[in-house]
Amino acid sequence: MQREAKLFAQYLGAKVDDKVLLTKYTDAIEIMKFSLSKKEENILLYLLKMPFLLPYIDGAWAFLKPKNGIRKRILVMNALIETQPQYVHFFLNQENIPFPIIKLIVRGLVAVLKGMIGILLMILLGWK
Amino acid sequence: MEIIDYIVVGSGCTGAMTAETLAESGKRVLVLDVGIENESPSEVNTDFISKRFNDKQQADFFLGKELEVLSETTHPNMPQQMAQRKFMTELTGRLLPVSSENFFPVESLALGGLGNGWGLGSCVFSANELKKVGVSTALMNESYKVIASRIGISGEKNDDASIFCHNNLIDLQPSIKINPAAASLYHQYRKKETYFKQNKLYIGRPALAFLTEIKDHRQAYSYKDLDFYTNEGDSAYRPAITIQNLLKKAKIEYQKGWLALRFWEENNCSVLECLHIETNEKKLFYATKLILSASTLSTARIVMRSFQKKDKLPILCNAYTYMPMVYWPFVGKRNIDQFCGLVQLAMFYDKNADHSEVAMASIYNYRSMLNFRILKQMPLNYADGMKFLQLLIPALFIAGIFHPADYQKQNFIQLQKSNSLTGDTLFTNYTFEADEANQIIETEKLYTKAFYKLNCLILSKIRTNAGASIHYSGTLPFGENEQLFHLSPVGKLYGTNNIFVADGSGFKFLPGKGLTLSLMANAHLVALNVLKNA
Ligand SMILES: Cc1cc2nc3c(=O)[nH]c(=O)nc-3n(C[C@H](O)[C@H](O)[C@H](O)COP(=O)(O)OP(=O)(O)OC[C@H]3O[C@@H](n4cnc5c(N)ncnc54)[C@H](O)[C@@H]3O)c2cc1C
Repeated sequence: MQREAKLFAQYLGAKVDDKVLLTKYTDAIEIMKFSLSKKEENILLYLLKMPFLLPYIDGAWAFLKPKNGIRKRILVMNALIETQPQYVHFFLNQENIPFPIIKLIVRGLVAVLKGMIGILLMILLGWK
Repeated sequence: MEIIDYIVVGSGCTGAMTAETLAESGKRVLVLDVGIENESPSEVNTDFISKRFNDKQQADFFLGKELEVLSETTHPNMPQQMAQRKFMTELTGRLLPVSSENFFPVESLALGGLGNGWGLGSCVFSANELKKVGVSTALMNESYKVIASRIGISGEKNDDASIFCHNNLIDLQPSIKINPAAASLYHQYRKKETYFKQNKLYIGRPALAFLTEIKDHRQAYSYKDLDFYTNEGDSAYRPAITIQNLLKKAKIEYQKGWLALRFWEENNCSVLECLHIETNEKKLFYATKLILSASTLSTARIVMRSFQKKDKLPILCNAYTYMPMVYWPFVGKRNIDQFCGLVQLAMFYDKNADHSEVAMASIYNYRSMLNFRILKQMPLNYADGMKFLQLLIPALFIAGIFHPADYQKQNFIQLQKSNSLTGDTLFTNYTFEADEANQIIETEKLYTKAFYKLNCLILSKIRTNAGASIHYSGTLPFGENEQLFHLSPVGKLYGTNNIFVADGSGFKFLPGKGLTLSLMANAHLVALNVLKNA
């Protein structure tokens, strides 16, 4: 569970040695009882070994299976990060961001592209 | 056998107003209620931004100690799911069971009812609307004044929305300060006013049951942007404020824990059978007059049980569409300044140009409900989605459109036997068909175009399940002819001598606007009539 917490924390840009956050996550998963299917457990094991695949696979799920068990757990980590003061700058802008529209479009396109690559990967890996 | 002068069932917006009017008579008033309370209300002496930047325990506050906000078992139509508001809908699944494939009402058994979470949007109904509703315009206009002076309403005296919101019928406190993004959007409207007016669209500030100046013991709003979590200084009107004030002054009695089941009349007195929700004990209460203010659906259950007839009753519910949208000029803007999460602007579409069929859109900015709720709905990977939202949130508006509702023959409620605690379940059907469905689509199209004109990009158009508007009425229509399951124009239940209904059950039409101010005004009129009958 700790490894899973670290994987998701790192993926979302938080510190992997943030003990408070990691403990909050493991407690939360216990409270929430968000269980994973056998298939999801296997995929998670794979992702723990190859964390660089996560953004692509997550992007694919966002299109294909948004209610996937692993995504539910990543969202829990996201909500916990959002409610930690040290990460507030990920969510609230203290100043105007320069070139916001360009950044918005680029961000959107990159995310869509990752999703498409993710779909291909899932087909290749037989996860679809 | 103790006979009480007036028993009022329910302590929501309508129950509170009924009790207050009856209490003025000096007679004995008992409010009976299930009355679930928030056991651990949040004490907050900070604002949203300070909390987000400094409070290490904020997860408990924003997500709930049991992370209930992240739970997936919540009601499909319950908006703004906050841990602080969980009590509002507690026990409804068990005590007010509903069975339906297409209608998912939100009901409350709390002290103060749904009024604990209402968005405070207050609109008077026009003369044409009131005629269709089935109540007297002259009496309602007087009653609006009384209610406004009790609850306190703030708003703009003179803009394009004034006529739809308050029509200068009520005293107003100054409007809440507008958020910068909403001010800019409003400015766009002013520049393109001709287009809007040609299309019978009008934008202005909403009237809200929210104080901007001190009133009695209640404080003016302090712009802490925690409006969905707490009610500092009681600046927002919540019906529990009225109940508690009346109790403090010993003007009413209040007994909680009682679920009203059915009534009958004997020897010129009304008997109400109630079930205690903890002990399952049944008890009879006796009153000279019984006033039901348990909400449209709950009152219907009580009446259907009492008349022991298997009739299907009609039902009205506004269709509700919401549209998240991006207002380009505010993408990536700083968003840590003073802010208010309540409705910023109201847009009205006056289809027939005579105020008879208005569809209102409430326009909100988004911040204090946190980004993860939006992230969850986006088709993007979470890591990039988070960064995308950081840019988007300052520019995010949500418009909720209420469509007017007329009776449709396929929509009904019926009480059927079941093995629930009360021995029955409310069976319901609600669909939008034919002309009504087409009108909803037309209105959505018109609003989409209008927002586009204001430099907004609509992200999606979500036509919600029936029931999501949380505006219900019309189960026991007002009528001149004495018919079972109907109310007299002043709220007396036909077929009884001393039983009255003071909630929305009688309204035969639901304008596409906030209905609660009108529900309260009607409740006051029903209570006056009860006193007149005494
Ligand atoms: C999130 C949200 C936002 C809203 N925003 C707006 C808005 O901006 N503008 C607007 O006009 N409206 C709004 N509404 C709708 C508004 O809240 C309702 O129209 C209004 O509160 C209905 O009041 P009521 O007294 O009829 O019923 P309720 O508020 O449902 O009160 C019912 C009362 O009766 C009691 N009760 C029920 N059944 C029984 C029984 N069998 N025995 C004993 N007691 C019983 C309950 O405990 C409760 O006290 C909103 C609602 C919600 C949830």
